[in-house]
Amino acid sequence: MRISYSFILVFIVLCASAQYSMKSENQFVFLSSSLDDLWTPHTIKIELDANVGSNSFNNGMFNDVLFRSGFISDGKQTFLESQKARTNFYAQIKGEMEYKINSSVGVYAKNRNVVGYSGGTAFTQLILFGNAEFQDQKVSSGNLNFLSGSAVSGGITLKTMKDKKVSAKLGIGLNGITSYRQISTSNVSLYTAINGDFVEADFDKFSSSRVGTGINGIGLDLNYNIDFKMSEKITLSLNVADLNINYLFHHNETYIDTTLSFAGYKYQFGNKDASFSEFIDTSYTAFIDRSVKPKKWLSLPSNINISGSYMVGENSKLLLDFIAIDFGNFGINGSLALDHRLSENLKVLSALGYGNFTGLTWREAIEISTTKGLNYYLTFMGLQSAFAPLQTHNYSLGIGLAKRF
Amino acid sequence: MIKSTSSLVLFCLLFIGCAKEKFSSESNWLAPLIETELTLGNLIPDSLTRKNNDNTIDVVFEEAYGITSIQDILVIPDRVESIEVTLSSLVLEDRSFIDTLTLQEIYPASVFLNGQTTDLPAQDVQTNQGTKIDVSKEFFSTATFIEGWIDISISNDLPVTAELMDFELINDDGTNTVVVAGTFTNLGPNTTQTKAYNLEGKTVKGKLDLRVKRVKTKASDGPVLIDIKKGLRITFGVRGLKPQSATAVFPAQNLVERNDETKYTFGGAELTQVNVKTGSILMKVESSIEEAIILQYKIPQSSRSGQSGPIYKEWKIPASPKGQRIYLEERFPIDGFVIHLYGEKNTVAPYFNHIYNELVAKIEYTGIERTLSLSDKIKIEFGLVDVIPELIIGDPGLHNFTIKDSLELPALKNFKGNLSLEDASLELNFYNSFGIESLITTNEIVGQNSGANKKVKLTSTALSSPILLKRAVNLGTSLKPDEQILTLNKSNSNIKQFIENLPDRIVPNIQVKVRPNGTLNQSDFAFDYSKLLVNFKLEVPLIVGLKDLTVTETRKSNLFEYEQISNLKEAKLSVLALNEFPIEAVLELAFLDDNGAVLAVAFKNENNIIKEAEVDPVTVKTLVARQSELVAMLNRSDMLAIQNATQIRITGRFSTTDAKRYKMYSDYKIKLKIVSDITYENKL
Repeated sequence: MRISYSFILVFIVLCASAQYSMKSENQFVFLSSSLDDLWTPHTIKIELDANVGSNSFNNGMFNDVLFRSGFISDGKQTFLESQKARTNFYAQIKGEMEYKINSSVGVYAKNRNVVGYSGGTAFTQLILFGNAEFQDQKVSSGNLNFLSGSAVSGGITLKTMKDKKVSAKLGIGLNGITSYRQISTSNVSLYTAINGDFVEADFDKFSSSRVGTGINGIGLDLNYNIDFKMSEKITLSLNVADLNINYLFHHNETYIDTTLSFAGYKYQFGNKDASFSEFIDTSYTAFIDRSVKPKKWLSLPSNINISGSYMVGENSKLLLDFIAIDFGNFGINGSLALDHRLSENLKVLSALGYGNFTGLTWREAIEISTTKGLNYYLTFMGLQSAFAPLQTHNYSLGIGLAKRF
Repeated sequence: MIKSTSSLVLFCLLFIGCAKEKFSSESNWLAPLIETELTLGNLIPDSLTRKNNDNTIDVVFEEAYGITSIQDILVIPDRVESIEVTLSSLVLEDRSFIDTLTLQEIYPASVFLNGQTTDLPAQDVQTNQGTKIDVSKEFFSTATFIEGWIDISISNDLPVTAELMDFELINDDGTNTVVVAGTFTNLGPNTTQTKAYNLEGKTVKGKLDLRVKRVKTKASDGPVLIDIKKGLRITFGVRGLKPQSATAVFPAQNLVERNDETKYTFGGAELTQVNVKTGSILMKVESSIEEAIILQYKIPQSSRSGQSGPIYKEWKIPASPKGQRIYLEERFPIDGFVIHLYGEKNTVAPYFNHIYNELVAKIEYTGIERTLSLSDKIKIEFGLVDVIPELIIGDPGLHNFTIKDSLELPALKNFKGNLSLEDASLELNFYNSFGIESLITTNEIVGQNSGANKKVKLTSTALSSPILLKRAVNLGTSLKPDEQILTLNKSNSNIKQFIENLPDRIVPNIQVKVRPNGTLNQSDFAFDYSKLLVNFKLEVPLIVGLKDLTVTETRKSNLFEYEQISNLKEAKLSVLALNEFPIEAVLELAFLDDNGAVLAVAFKNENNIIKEAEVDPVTVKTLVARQSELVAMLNRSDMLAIQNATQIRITGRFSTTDAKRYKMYSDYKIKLKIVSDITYENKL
């Protein structure tokens, strides 16, 4: 699947390059807000974006996962030697399309897959690489949170406000949850005795839930963007994306708030009645089954973005951007970017930033606008991993295509 | 454009060609798998052990062997007899009917002379007119006879001689069938003549026409008293009627009366009395008779405590609808009855094996007219069934039988190798609570070790002579059995070697001669709780020396059904053992498929020894447990093979140092813990 995405991205970029033209007047829709400002009817915008970031996992590990059959690089070792108390991880693949029907109404559709994780680094190492290295240690993590989900959405976009100073856009639609898995706990720990003599797990407000394939729930999807032009040079923006609330069908959540200890299956010589699975059932499964409660509501991570831009020249502006994912549960990032129009149909953007789920970020983006009403967009983050993969903790690749009919 | 397209195709091919392997990473997990404790109690069930005051253990095995039920020596067979009854045995009552041919009817003018004394002239009357006679109430509505007679008597009440009377009795049913015709002559005054007419094959109706075809009387010799009411008095009597079919009101009568001494055979036994524990009288009836049948069954020579009278039961079979059959099947319990088997009387033969019983099938007078015919029948099956005796008395007969049923000891099937015992003893308790003498001859007792294909015959001088077990004594409320005890030990037998062979099957050959010296007055008896047994009691002090004594246990396991098992790359199994036994154990763990084929083996030939604990030379008891660590590596191919395993076979091979014997104590144990160090493959 990763290969397929990579292939699609490259394919579109090549297509974009093939249609590049230096002629005509230009409108930039990806590196500016002109699409929503002008709200030109019969314009379509398609954007694909894939990003992954972590404060502890490094690009060496990401490269191993993406391009190799195992952890071959030093990425794993670097992670194991990490001094960070917590390990955060967030990845998203999102595809979105919007079509402007008339001067104030449009429609949109999107599909997104998200994986988020936040937990203690030692506990994360234990989950990923086993407990053998943690003999006679109690490895714990506070506020461990794991979320994996995917959803499809569709709805309408409305130009809700437009004047010289303020422009606002609302997108509202239906959301369908196609997969979902969540684990959260306020504290979890695992003690492994020497030689694995016994293991003891503490669960404090532990909950786990999961749904299968298909539409498992429906809900509302809300998107809102407002730009406030303070002056000719300064613009402030607020963007809320993917805010959603969903009702789940026939779904349960398992709660555990106890200590489970396992010293081995109590085998009785000569007693042929008890089997290992029965022992597990009587010792644990029955207890866990009693802790199952219905779960009705679910919200997948949303993005809240506050940004400001300042024109530093005729063709350049500085952008200061802050983003909170899932109200900060899966990361807060800040970046400073220089947006520069190289020509009437070519614009680039360079950004440096930092996030608690991404570490240091370096992003480059380019947009080409043609006289035929076509716009091509490409963005890439984590360029520094080419020469310092172990110190880089993020990847991002985005492409876009827009067309005015 | 062409260039761009070519570049694109080339790029696609590059990506497709470089499709990479699935990513996987390994994680190492330490987890306990199994925790267990092995004591002697796990190897030998509590029921087979006896703990002594010093915590040493004796193995005590007891088993009773022999005849434990009266059913084993005698079965009372079901005896059901069948009879079929037809109307050939049905009768109609003898009846009579009187009709008078008066003087007025013969000489109508006599009405003017009635009461006078005068001369009576001769008469010669010929006529075809008859007199209607209705005997349908007195006799029957219609009947066709196989046998039967009608007697016609004529009494002359006239004062003159009847010279001739010619008559016909005709069915008055339109057919005018002549039933009988006859002539009476010279019947003097106040005299009677009788003639009998055969009704065989004739159909007679209840409505008849008596036609006096000619009556001729002489003139009186002088004046006589004229009484016009008197005349020729005709009496019709029917007798000996056996109808082919009849429509009549049938009188009460017995259809079947059967008194019989039913003979039973008991395989040579001659019984005089059976006390029935449970059993029934079966009565099955199939009837097409249009009249209710009463069945009565009785065994006069029977009684039950607390109840007067013998076994007796009466059933009523309802009248069968025309053209249909009625079925009845009932079982009448006779639990608790004592039945004598000397026939009707105990003073004449037969004196045994005969049950006198009486069966009556009858119809009662109902006053209702029924139509019965010879084709109607009643089939009756009756007799004693499912009789289980509580007590039998008599002569059981001379019997010889051999007990060869093998005694299985499955617990020892899992043992192989060499066992050395300090001592062993076997007590044989011969027990007889039958009131029958028995002679027991022990031909041989063989212990088979099927695993090693080795047999040891138990030999002892004590077993060389036959053992005569006398009759038990019936004390009324209890029995005093006869018992004889033989004890085999290592001084008078090879019992120690017999046990050291680890037999999983004991095959005896014991001959039993029942009533070898005859019986007195057929007074032998057997209660249902009587037993003829050999009680084996084996006692083995658990002072054992072992050399490669191997115990195997195979258990089903669904542990490997979990999908995640396929992600196990390799595993290290560590067994941590704390052994208090003075016995060294070599462990092997085999993973088997459904057919028992070995897929992988752990602890094979290396790192698989649980060392024995050291023994205190003074107390000859171990003081401190000895620790051992056994390690087995299961590689990738082993793990792949284990995925198909459905059974785990655990084999322990036990030895004492130089096979020296040690006392075993009940508090000895081995603590075992199996811990796994697993390399798990996480696949993305």
